[in-house]
Amino acid sequence: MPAGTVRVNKPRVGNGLHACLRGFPAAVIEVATGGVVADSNGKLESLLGREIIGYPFAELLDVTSQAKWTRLLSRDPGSTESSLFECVVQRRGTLELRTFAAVWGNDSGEERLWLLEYSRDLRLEPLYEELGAANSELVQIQRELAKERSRLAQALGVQQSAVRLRDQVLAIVAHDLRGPLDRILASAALLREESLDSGSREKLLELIARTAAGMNVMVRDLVDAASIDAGRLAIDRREVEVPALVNATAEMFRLQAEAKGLALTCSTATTVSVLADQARVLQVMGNLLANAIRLTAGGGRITLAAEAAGDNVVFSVADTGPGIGADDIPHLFERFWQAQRRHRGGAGLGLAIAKGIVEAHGGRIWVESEVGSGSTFYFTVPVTPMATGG
Amino acid sequence: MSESWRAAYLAALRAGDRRGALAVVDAARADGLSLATLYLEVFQPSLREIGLLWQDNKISVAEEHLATAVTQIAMARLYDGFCGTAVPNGRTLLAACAATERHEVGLRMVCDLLELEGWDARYLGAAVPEDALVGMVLSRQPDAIALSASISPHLPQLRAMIRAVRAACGERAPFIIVGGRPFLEDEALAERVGADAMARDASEAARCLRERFA
Repeated sequence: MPAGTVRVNKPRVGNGLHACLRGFPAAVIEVATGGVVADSNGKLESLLGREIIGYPFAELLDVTSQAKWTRLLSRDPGSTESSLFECVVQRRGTLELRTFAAVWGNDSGEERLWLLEYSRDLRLEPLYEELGAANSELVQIQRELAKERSRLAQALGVQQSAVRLRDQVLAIVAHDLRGPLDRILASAALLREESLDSGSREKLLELIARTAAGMNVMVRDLVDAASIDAGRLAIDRREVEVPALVNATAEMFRLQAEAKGLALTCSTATTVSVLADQARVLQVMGNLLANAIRLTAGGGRITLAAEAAGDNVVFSVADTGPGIGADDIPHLFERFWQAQRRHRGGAGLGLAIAKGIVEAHGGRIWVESEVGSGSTFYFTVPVTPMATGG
Repeated sequence: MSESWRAAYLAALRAGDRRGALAVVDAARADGLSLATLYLEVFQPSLREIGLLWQDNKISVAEEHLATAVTQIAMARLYDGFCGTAVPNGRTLLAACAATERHEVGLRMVCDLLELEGWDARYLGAAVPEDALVGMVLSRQPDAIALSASISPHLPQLRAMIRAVRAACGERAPFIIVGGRPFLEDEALAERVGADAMARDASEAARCLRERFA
């Protein structure tokens, strides 16, 4: 034997581990047949804060890793191949992933399994935590962005269709104003004819005045619609007596209804007054009445009514006209909806304006109708506070 | 039909082939595979298989995490495509994991499956502080909360989250459903942590909430 070297007669200390493995910076564990820890260099004990020699190694593991451990132990007998063993150990209420090289061997006729922990870079752990948190945040941001993008795309779609509709309505309004304007221009040209007698001259002036009044209504509607849209429709609230209001409206349309052979009746079962802008409420009732007269065939009946219901007065205009399809009812009060219909009666602003006026009064407007059975439009206006309960 | 897509997807995951895996997803979608089928019959079983391979000492945890990350990317790409396409049904869900959870895929699947049916599902991710969760619950007033914990040491935090929500909302607390491995091993655990229901996987959670709020 060469001088200076020491033969270690007993190459192992304790129950088995070589002395050099005692100082190894990572865990080294010797496992005997049956999975019981035979020896350890103390590193795993420090990590787990418990004794491990003499205990089954499986006891240190989390459930999923216990299954892995069983598979590792049940390798082919005689196989000395080393393998990678990753497992999760239970450490004071937390779980930690550890990686070992699993090396099989034979020690004095006894089968042994040595677990040698791979060195770990301790800085990786917090970085890994950070990576997980960053990923979670990224996922969240991506989902929020996708939601926002879908919302914006929908809003853009709504805007685009509103712009399309506005263009369409502009074309309709221009067309609708063009007709009366042409009539006025033609009448004005005729008035220049010196040969015209005074009777014809009077008729032409009457025609110009009537046509201009019609144009005035169209322009007023456009201005009203814009005011409602901008939320600045002026409402001049005063106390208005309901029966007088209903009768005045009916009288305004009586001639028109009778000319078409329609029976127009009034029914006011209340004497209360409402706090309202009289001209505006007249505008709403007038719009509903004009529609009813326009759409109801001769021989039909139109009923204008008002009755008190709690803090409101419910006004109604019922006709025996053709009625409205269930599919159309939800869109009836939408601006310009009518303008998209083939058989339109106007630019499609009337009912939208009526809705705007009623809502500006704090009321609501709706319709009950069935095809073939006529329609009844209702709207509410709050009663004068002093009159409540009186 | 999903069988062959699953095999192709799993093969790409095992090879660590991100582009290949995403190409499989694109091809499956182009072939008409529904999102729900893709989630429940391709992603879910593939990730389960990857988990078993780790348990079998066949792959390392790094490979398992890569497979999860690739699936998260696939889900993010799909989400971008379907988000906002369903007609809203007015139902809302908040979903959160207990602190430092890394097993978020299941919870994201629950969110996505319900969003496909018109729910507004908010995925809050991991490490949501209790007071932040309570704040969200009070401001959003969700119909349901889904919470997950993949390991038992996270249960105390999960229980604290539920307790905080119940304390803040009283009788108006949302329906609380929990999931994760510890709940599979102990049937009575969900009730002990204060939850209203437990689900074994994403499809069971989605079904439970769908039926509860039908």
